[in-house]
Amino acid sequence: MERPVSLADFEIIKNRLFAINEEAAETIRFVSASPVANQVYDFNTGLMTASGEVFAIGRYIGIHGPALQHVVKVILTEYSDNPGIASGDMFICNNPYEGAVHQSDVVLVAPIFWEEKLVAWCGSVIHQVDVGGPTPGQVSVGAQSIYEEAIPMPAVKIIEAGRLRKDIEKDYLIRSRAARLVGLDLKAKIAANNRMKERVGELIRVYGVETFLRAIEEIVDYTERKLREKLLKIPDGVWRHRSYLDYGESIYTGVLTMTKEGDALTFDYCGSSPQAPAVINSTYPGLEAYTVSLVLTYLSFHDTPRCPAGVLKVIRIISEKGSFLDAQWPAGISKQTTASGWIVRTLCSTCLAKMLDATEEFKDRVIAPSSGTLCVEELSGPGFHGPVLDSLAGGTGARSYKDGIDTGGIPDLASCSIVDLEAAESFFPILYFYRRQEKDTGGAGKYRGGTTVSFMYMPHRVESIPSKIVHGFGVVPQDLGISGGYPAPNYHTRIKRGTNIKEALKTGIVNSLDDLSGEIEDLTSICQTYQGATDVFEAIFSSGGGGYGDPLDRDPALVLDDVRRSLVSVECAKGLYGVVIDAGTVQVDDQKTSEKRESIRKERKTLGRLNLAG
Amino acid sequence: MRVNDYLAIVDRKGKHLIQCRCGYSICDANKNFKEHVLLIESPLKKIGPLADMSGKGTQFVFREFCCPNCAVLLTTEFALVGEAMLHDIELKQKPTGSQ
Repeated sequence: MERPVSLADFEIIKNRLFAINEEAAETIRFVSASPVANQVYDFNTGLMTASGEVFAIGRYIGIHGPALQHVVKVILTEYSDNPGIASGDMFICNNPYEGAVHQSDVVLVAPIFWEEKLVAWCGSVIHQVDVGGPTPGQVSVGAQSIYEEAIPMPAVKIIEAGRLRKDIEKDYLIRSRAARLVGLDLKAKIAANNRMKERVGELIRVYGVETFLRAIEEIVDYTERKLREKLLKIPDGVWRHRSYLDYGESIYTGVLTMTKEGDALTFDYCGSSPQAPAVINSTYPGLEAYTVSLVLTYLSFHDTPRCPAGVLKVIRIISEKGSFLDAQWPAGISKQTTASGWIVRTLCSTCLAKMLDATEEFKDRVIAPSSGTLCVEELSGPGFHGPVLDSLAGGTGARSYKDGIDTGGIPDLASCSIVDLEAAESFFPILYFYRRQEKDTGGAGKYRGGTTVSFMYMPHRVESIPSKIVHGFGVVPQDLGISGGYPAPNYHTRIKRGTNIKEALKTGIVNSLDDLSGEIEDLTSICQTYQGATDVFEAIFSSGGGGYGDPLDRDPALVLDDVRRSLVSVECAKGLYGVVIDAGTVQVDDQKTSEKRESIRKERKTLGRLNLAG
Repeated sequence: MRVNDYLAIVDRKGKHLIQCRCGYSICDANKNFKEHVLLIESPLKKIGPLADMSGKGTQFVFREFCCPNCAVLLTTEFALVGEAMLHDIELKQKPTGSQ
């Protein structure tokens, strides 16, 4: 006889299901040989209802989980009869038009049967270092449509009745320049899915299938209730934001009008630029995944499960088909996660932060936007392929009561990390000169945004890095401050070519490109280049966080502390915060600080044009 | 009723106004307050020495909106040169009780 879902059972089952996700994540970390998976944790796992609603996701890449539902729904709609869905099957997919966020985020989903009845699904996603296409890595430089990118794989049954189909595996791996790594990642996902299936089976054996099914339904309802309770405490209103993506000579504008009415939220992306003849677009699953991920980041607090299906009951998404945020076939998608997807992230985080800032009860929950211009370098050559993802060590946005966290990471990628520097040097043929928190990269404010990472490296043990694809965007900064806080600056990458690095290393430590001779080459938002034996690459990322509050309201003692810790320069202390620090004593000059702040206020009144529209 | 850390909507004898923390009344609550405060438009470099290192950001401006009375920085935005100000916060709920 089935047991009813008591509150105690519900809590146990709910927490157990999230623990199952965590165990699946550990499985991926143990099996994968790719630093992207086992050190950066650029993956996620999820559990779904029999119809594909995602009710529990892991704490890693926030967008991977919500997108799973689209893949499962395609399988249920199109494949139920042919090739059929049976116990022991698994389906692979990296088609962005069927639910993969972009081609590199390869999905593997598995049905979970109990006594011949389909009761749930599980899924794993790992970012693959290379899935083919004209250029190495995730971005197909110069592609104008998906036909010129890595060929997407629609949902395909790759495991049939527990047996890996070698023909499909071969079809999948032959595309990749890093087939061994990608092949092992496939095994990692198989292992993770098997672990989730086993653990869900154990749960059903203990509690019974009816209790299990009612419990997962309750997780969705509980999430919906918790979100609606919070929204009812927030004033009704409309928040808007524009975010700009530069690609070549073009600017693509993302527009969000977010309306909170009663206990519901509407995200309206109408007005965004048309889809691009390029690699930067997003499909609807990607747009939805970013929106859901950001709602979970900003509104789940400590008490709401990571349950995308619950979020989707509370929000409505409106978009224009054919825009670059909801692109139609055959638009190019390969750069989605460092382009249009990131724009959606900025749009949502800015509107959600401002909405919480307008709410007395939740103002302490504000996180100013951060990491608005993610930039990735894809290195490729004989024996090595993969991205350098140090930009994930961004500074977080300031809160309404404290500073952002320096190199604290990305809030919606809660448990992701960067590759240990020694491990990176062992995996890639590179030698780092530094990886450090970079001063003046956090947005100024009463509370400062977290500073971000910068780093510099050269080829090592090889003659050159023959292919180096750098892709980001960010002519205009993205991480707007909140309540008068300043934005964080935009990233910049450059190479100094033909340096005297070998001689310089004999005489001391190299801390900057300025210490070297050679020719500086500034890199564009997306480019395929190379790095010769003495070419040194340097990256300053705008993965810093936006500030909170007027910088002139910051306690001078905190600014002094920032200067002493090399997080803010003396020049910015004076110019942005109005805090004058005596160079000799390294103390705040109170009199001059007071005068400087007054002069900045006067300057604002002098320079400011009084708007009297309306 | 709070708008952000410096702004609130207050009820002045039945009229809802956006007010700065210094007490300066900016405009009706249903208006875009940015259109009624000090506007300073600057190149992107204004936010710090690391901004716009590529020098390609000249088609954008950084806008600061300050209280005409106390000069506190109320909010900021980026925009293309000549682009209209964004009405980014539009609260529909109104405060109860007159002040």
